[in-house]
Amino acid sequence: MLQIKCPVCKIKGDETDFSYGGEAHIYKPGVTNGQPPNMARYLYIRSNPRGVQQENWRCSLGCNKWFTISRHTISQEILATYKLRETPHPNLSGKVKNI
Amino acid sequence: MSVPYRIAERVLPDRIGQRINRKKKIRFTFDRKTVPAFQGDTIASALLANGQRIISRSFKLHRPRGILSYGSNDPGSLISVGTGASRTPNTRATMTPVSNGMVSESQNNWPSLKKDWSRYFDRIKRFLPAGFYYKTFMKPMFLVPVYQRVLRLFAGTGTLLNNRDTASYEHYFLNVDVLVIGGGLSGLVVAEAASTSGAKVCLVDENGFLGGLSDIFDGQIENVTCLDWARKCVTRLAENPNVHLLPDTTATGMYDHGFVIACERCSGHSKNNDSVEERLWKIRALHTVLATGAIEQPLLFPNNDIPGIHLSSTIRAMIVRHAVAPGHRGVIYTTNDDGYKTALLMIDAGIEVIKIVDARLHAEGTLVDLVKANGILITFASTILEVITDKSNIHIQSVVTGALQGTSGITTKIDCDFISVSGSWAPVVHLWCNNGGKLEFDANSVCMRPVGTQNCMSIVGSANNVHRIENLLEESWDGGHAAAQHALGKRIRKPTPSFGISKSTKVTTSDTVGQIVRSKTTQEKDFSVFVDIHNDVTIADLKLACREGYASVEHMKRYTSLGMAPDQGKTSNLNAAVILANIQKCPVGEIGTTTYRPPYTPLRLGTIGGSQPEFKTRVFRQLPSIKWHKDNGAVLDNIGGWSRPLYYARQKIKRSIAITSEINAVRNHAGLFDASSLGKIEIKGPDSAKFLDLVYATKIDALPVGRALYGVLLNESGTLLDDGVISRLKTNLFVIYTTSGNSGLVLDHLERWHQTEWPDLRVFITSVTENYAHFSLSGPRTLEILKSLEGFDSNKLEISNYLDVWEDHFSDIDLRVLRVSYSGAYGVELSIPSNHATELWQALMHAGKELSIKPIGVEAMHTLRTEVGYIAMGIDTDTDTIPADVGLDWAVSDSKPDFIGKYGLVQDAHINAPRKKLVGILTKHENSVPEYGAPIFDRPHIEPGNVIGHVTSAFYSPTISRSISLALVSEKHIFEGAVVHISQSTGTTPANIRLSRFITKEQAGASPFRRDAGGQ
Repeated sequence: MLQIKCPVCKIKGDETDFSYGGEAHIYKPGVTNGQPPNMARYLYIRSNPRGVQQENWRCSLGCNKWFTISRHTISQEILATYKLRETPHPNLSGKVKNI
Repeated sequence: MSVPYRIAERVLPDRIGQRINRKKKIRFTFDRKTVPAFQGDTIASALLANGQRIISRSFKLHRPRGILSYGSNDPGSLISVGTGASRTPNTRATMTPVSNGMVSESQNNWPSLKKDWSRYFDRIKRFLPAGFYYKTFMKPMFLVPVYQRVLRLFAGTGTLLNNRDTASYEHYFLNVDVLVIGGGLSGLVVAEAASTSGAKVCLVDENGFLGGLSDIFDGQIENVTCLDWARKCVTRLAENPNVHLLPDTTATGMYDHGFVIACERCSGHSKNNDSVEERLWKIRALHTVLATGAIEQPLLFPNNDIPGIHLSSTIRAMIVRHAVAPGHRGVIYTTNDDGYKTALLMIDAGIEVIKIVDARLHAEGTLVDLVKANGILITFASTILEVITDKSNIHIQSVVTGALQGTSGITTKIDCDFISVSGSWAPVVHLWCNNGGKLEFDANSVCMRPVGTQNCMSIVGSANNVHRIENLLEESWDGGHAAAQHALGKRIRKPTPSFGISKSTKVTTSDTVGQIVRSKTTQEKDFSVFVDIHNDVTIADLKLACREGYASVEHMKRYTSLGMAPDQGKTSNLNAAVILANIQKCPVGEIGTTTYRPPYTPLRLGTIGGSQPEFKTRVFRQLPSIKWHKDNGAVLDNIGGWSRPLYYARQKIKRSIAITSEINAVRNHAGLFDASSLGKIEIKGPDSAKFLDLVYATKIDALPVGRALYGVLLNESGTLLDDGVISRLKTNLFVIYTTSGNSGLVLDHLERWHQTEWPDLRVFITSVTENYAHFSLSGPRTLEILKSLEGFDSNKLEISNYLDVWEDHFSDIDLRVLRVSYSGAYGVELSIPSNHATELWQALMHAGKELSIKPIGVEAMHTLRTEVGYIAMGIDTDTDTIPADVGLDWAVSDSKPDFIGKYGLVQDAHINAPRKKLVGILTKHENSVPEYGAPIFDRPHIEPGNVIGHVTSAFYSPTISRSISLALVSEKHIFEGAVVHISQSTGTTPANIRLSRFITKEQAGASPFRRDAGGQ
């Protein structure tokens, strides 16, 4: 069971105290040049990496704020936790031991 | 009563019988036979002491099974303990301490353990290979359930309890710096080192006694025996306030981020004296050290599963701990020095050692010399070729030994009554592998040993394949120090070991390096060489699996069921890997292992469930005026997380009569429905309208103050999430209403989009669901009733239009009035602060008493809305429904530049693919009401390919005296009057599709005012 620390209210808890919101940094596309956006790509295509993934979580039993964590999908290590609209660590993969 | 195999008290009293108290006599029963025992015995040791070698029958062939091992890894000794409601099936005899009056019974046999009828399966085992049942009992399909029921009688382990488990369980949480799993020599040293370094330590061990196997290994540390040394260590730890010792606790699973599940067995131990049967510990440790030790592996030879064949360490444990001799004359078959230790102990205990059969080509050392000095015959490079038993297959009479290699053909037959076997010692790496730890085959010691590193976890001692005591102690001390450093996140000076161990300290012990050997067997004999003793998997089965293409270790496991038994292959997986490598002629390392998954030992469902108090732990939300409903005969049910009245049966009238009278009240007089469970969310702030326009598919921006509208909420893929009324109370204050069950979902949805996509919009989203009670009053008498409501200005209502919203009063309490109706009849909805809910409800009921008002339950409300064709979100829609499917395309704005789901709606799957649409259904037989979810067919035959839709809502409408339904039906089958067939309990029933409304506006009791022509 993951242990997560909310970067907003600083509360530390089990993953059951939070809710998962899928891959982060996927933004709602708009109309470009009068063409409707590529919805299939936005809705259904995810990177699903073997390695570090940025993902959204909500502090659902705490401050109810969304935030982003960088999780290694194999080791489950959480390398960084940051608020929305903050940028992740530039080279997180460098921090991970090769798995 | 004589106890034939109990070693007399005078024999080495300070070494033999360490755990038993001969002064405390205990009697328990096994299969209704009284068994004498001493305090400190396990069921297994007491049965062995009494010569009861057979304890259960194997899973498939019903061969006799006895005690192979002493601990939780024993594959054969599952019994049921207790009687009646407190009976526990599938308990390990080796792990269960005896107590006075305890009742135990063998499993998987009929009519008795010795005369089990199914034992004849063994005679035809050649014709029952792996996969036999799957291959044979396939056809005809309709008989498969019968096969299952019959075969079930012969296979399996214990039987379940039919009644509720009366035992109590609980969960404990624990946070520590360092968790040590395993309380053997190595674990004790780790705990001491870590606590001396300043860490808060918890040590769990599966057994009631800490010290691991120190009692059955000779050798000295600091001039005392290993056992005395371990005892001193335990005493020091018990006095240390920084150390939490948890004996009788099995760590069953290792999860992410240092989360460990451990199960403590509390009952049967007077020291705990609590009423809890088992306690589940949820431990979060900053660093976990595995000191889980190693398990001795059995050897492979024909009939190697007969009771009376024990692991070498088990024989020592039985003698040293319980003063039990496994027999009178033993043969020792070994691949390492362990067998010699057992031989020496047996000599000391006065048990005859006939011969040591050593598979190694040669061996020397102190142990070998000592054994030779005792005049025991040793043959090297030899093996057991055959085990000869009596007719019952339970008692060993003699063994045939011969050369392991070559074809000398010289065999010797030796009379004996038990055999000690010793393969290699396999590290217990289960928890190491739970989190993806890696293993490597070690050819020197023939085992899978852990390699690599893991976050927050380390492995030491014999679990790390370090067996020499002096190396093990040093490694463990270092491991404990490193664990404390890692957990506390700082450098700590390594403390000096309290036991002053150094290279010069005299430690006497010898290597226990082993090897797996297998007798030369003919094809004939392969059928009786058992690799998995519980599930009866033989070498012949493994060969068959390889021949049929299931050669990968994971495939082999599924095909033969090897390693799937309750012991999870603790004594079979390693041997199987070696055999597979042999068959495939490849190195064992290439075979690999199956995936190690929790739990390490079986966990009871009760333990996982934890404490189950009499009241339900799931609490349902209560309506503010619930007391009134209860007092007035409401039949409550849990709907969407709320406890709500289904209908009111005050004079114990029948359900259907109650519902009909409620519906008639709305259509003819008035009905009052408690809709307080509706989700109510206030949207405040200057950008409220802009925000709602972005999230709702309906255009909201232009909504004037004092008006409401019906809006639909989509998700990004364009399917319906929720619907509801949106009312504008002030320019910057909206109240949105959601479906009862979706209030949390909608709130989270709005909050998420606000936070992630449009954080710049100045909006506050607040749930006021619990703050307001919400009553729906509808029916032709509504206006008359409200006229006599105290403080209510009915003039406003009289001039109001459909979908108007305004504030009014009940006495001096603020009311929010909404001109909507979910029943199709003329009506209003009233919101009042929850603390005044019952007052308003009672006042309305009182005001309507003369006008035949009735309280309405959920059943009536659903019938009413179905009569007028209103949909219920989540009932008439599913996650694939778009607004156009249910006729809500009018609620989706064309003019808005963007909203959630706008572009999802125009996906191919929504535009070009055939859709299911919501239609009305009238059954041919007016009284037959279809079931929810009943499939609809285009012809009367039920065939999977003919399904064209399903029923979503179905009720009996008293207004038109017939059954009415809503259904989602594939659009190409939809036209007015189309005949469809609805599945019911017997076959299908014919019905017609109805595209117009079920009842007229007049029948529904809609607003009499012309200005309301568009609505109710």
